[in-house]
Amino acid sequence: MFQTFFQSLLDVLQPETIAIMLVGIAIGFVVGVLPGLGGSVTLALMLPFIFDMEPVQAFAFLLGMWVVTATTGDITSVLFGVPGEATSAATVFDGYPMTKRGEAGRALGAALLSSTQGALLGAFFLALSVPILRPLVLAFGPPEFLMLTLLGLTFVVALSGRNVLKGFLMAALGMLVALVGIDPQEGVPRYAFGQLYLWDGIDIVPLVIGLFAGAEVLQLMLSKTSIATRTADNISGIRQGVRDTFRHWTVVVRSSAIGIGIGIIPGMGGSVSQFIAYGHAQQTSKHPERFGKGAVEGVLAAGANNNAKDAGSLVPTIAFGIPGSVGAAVLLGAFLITGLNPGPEMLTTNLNITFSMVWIMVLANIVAVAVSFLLIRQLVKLTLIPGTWLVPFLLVLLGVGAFTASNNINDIFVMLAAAALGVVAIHWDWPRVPFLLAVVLGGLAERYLFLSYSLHGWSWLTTPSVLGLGALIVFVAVWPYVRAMRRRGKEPVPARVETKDNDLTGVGK
Amino acid sequence: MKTATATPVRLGDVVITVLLLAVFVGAYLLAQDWPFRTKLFPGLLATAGIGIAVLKLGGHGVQAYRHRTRHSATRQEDAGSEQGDDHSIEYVFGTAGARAWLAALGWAAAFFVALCVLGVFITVPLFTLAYLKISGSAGWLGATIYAVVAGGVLWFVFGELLAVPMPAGIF
Repeated sequence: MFQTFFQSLLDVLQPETIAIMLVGIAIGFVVGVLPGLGGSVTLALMLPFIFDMEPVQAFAFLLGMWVVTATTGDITSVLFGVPGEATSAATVFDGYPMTKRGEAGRALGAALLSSTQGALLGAFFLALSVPILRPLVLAFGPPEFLMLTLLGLTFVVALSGRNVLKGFLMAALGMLVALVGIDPQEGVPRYAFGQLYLWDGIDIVPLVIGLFAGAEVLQLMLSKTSIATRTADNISGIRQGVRDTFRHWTVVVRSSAIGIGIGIIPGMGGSVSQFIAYGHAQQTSKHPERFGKGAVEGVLAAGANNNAKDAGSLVPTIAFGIPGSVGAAVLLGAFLITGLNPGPEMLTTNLNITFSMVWIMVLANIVAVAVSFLLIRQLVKLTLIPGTWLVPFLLVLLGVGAFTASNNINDIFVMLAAAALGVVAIHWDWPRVPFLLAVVLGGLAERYLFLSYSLHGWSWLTTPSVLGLGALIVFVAVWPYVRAMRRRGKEPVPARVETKDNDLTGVGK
Repeated sequence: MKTATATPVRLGDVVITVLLLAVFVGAYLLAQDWPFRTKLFPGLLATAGIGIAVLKLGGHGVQAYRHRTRHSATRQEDAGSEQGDDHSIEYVFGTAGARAWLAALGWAAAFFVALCVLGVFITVPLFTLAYLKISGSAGWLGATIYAVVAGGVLWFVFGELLAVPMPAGIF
């Protein structure tokens, strides 16, 4: 295993792979600095470009880009009070007040270096988890993987939104979409409606692009806002921020641990994780009253947590095919495109690729932070680009990205349909991630069902592991209702004001 | 967190649920003509979808009943209480006017229709110029430079250097 670990470093250090990773890092840089363009959206837009790449190159490109967005997202949070990424929101609380009192450089130094430290700790954990997970994953058969697939979906539905039934409906729709095309068992076309194009199934790339990026581009077209309206005047004191990360190293380690732990849980996501880490840093600080007014520990907690959670979210993605975050869900599409199956293969025959991801996370973060320190003044100018100037560029990426999935104009129509679905879902508060995840996992779930049936008949349904996982699925699905009912029971109900009854599906945020 | 209040049923939610119910019923009926192994998973899935959609519609009914019988002075809660971050996508979609929606959708439709009809190498410079000039209020010089560079880079990188197949249009 150690040999594979170091061999994978050599794979990543191949000149072509390094060059591709640098391109990914450069894109991640810009995207991270620009508010409104998230890492997940850009991952979706970049998926079509990996078709001709080797798996390690593809992940060097995508993963390098993704992890860098988390790092550079802190720059706009600190300088302008506008999070570059949704997961950088907590950095605003103390980073921006520090900027206002003339400590922008210190805040940036602390945010950038703590991000790198969080990423390194996360990558270390990812590498360490392989020998622990491998025997567990190899002990599982098709019935257990089927149940894990359903458990992952249930986790995402139950934890990612306030409305569980909406999530399940979107997941069911996504699975139906995954079934479009020739049935692998009998060769019968399903839901193809006589269209030859649909016989191959619906490609994941136009779906992801439309669902996530399409809606974001429309938002830019509607708002027409420029990204930042003011410039940062004084960027100095970076060294002091760097020293702060070492002085408060326990904050960095604890926040990273929180990020990894929450990142592993599918559906929790970085938006939740950063606030938990921030709150924890405040609770354990000797000066909690300074938080929100420019406490450097707050910046450190948010920065370290932000990057560590990415590594955490990759653990279930790689080991079980259950993504821990939206970005990991999109990244799961990259597994399919490059011909990889998440699960046992990633810990045995493709272990080198898993370890490559660890190295990519480490290298990409080191490069990103080094370049950030060098180019920080130039980078902030990117935020002054008006949104309208980005629209033509992004529309081209939408159209060309969707088309290159199979060089078929119908892919553009699929992308547009997915974009419409995405807009409707956002507008009416229907979760998009369960839909996407179900599209990715639908085929796998059906395959595991048939394997289970072929191997064991229906007797697999009564095995202890399946029953245990089934009970867990029921618990995860029902828990939000139980929690909501308990909350209602505790809350005093004022006269003439009812308890929150967000219908039968009502679950607090 | 929102205070305890009965929220009204949103028509959009009901419409989406009914549409999904129709999709699942259609999927179930279509699956009945297939062999057992082909229809097993879609059948189970569609049945589950129908069940959840019916449950959801029932939830809407209960919600509507509670709202009608209990609501009084708290009606304004639905629209006014959730002040969004004005950068968030939900806020932008929720607050954009009909004119802004029409303009944005019109531009997007124009781009993709042109892409299918004229091909990418003609559409990109033309659209970029028109969009920046009309919607972005850019100057002629800036918009022209952007349009030419965008079209040129696209043609050189994707068309010549990488030789990636691109939407060629119908002409």
